[in-house]
Amino acid sequence: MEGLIGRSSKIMLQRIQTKSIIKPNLLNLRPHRSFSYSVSAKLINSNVESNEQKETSRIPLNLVHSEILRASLSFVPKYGWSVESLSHGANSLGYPSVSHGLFPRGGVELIEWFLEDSRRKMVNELIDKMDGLKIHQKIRLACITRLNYTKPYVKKWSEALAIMAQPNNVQTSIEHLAKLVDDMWYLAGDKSADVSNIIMYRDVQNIMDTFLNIPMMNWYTKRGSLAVIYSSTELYMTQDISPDYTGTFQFLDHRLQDIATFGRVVGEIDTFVGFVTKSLVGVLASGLEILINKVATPEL
Amino acid sequence: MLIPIGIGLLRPLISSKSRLTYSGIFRGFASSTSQRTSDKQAIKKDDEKEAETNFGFKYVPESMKEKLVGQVFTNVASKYDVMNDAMSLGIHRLWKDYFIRTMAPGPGTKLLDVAGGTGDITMGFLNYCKEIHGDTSAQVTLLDINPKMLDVGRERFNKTPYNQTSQIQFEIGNAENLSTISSNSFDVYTIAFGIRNCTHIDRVLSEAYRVLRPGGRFMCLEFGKVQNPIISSIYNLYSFQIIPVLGQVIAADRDSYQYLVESIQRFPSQDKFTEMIKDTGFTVIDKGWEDLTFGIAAIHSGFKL
Repeated sequence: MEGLIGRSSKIMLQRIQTKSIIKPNLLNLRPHRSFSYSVSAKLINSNVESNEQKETSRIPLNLVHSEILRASLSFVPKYGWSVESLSHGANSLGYPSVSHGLFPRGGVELIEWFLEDSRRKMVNELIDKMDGLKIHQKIRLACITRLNYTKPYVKKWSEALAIMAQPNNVQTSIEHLAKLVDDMWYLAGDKSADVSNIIMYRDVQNIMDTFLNIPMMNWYTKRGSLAVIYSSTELYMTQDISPDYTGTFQFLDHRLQDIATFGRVVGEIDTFVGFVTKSLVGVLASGLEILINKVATPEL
Repeated sequence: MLIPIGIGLLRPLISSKSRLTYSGIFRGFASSTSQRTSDKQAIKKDDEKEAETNFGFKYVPESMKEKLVGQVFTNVASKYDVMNDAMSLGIHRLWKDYFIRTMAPGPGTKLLDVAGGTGDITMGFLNYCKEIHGDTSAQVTLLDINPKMLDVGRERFNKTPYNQTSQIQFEIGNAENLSTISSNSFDVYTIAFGIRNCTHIDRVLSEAYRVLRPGGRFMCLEFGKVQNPIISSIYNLYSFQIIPVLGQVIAADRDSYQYLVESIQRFPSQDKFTEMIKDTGFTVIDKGWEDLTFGIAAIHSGFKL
């Protein structure tokens, strides 16, 4: 019986393999990427290159930016994700406090840099540690590693979520989450873009997948479901008072189990993606509510 | 009531007391053509080697511009603040307030307010530090080339609590050559509505670069070009028809305000000025400027890094 199914699906796969692989283009993320991250240079004027002959001692703007942002992080627990943290960060490096003007949007730039930096740190840390683990264990390890980076700022994290939920910032915050989740699945060895291996996975899908005509479907669903798991866990963590965040990790484990048993019941891509997006927005909005409640009722 | 205004309007034709007195080149109203051409020939011999620069819509030798601008501001000094309110309908206060909020100085910031004149930016800065941070350690050096404007500024600050503190230094100086200011000594350099009056803008920018600390911010509030054609036409109408008349009525000095609106036209547009800022060596973030009121004014910013 198994052999029969295996054979018919192999024939199916041969037919699918001859078609070109469609790469998902949502948010411009490609399933297989190298990890060569280039530092964001969107703010730089071209002056640095043109003046290189004149002033070789001048530090490139990228470095100054990241230095100030990194120094500002240590002030976040006291001043929050705000211009004050940036001012103090600049001061601590010997720059005048008005250097916070390098970040015209203020605190949100600090949050975005923090998200980018944590994601990169997670990848660097885990790229060697993924051997010998099963897929769901890899995902769990990636989530835990990433959550650990938020720990020092957890008291102010709901403020960050509230800032990210503002209409100006929603798009970039969802992009960051999407990139994070994409990296997690990549680290876990996700090859769902490669159609020939689609039959290899046993963790999230069932045999029905091979007969669906949408090969990229589970690329989206994997990332969508992990995005919801991760963001809800992070939100839980902002309220977690258990020692050493054991409550958070239990919550994470429960959510991962839910997804594994849930599987691929939802068949249509737009419904699922719509569900995921609403969940994300709901999670961000819950963060805002929690922050408001925290402001209204003083913390112990 | 009407007779004094009538006489006031006729005054430039009658007396030459308040008129700028560079003979020949700069006669707004009643110069004969023969006088003009003969003087022009005389000037041509003098400045064959000397470059010319703009003084409003007129062209004058570079060495003269400073003196002419000096005369303008000596004439307007006593009524400067009143005229600002009248001409901009009070909006200049909003611009300057926004300017200080964009700067958002922290405690203990040292400001060099060039062409500070009557001290609007200085006052705003000190008030911001006091109110937002409760800080009285902020320092300002108010520098201006015109002694009369500085006097008006000094009088103004004498009426405030700041005259007891040592937070403000008044200095006479030329923005193109800040010889009394040492390098790398200030956190912020501001020049509000002053840079278009300078003869050599690039020298002003280089001096600004020199006196700022690494990480320091150069901020310039200046009139700009309006992109929107409808607003631009209304603005031009207002500038050229109403402002000089206001100047005549309130300050009895039409010519100075004619110079003012002409100098706005002559100043480079926002993007060209940003290029000049970049060329000096400042690091510019994003676009480099922010338009205020549709581009009538603009805040330019650069960092010394």
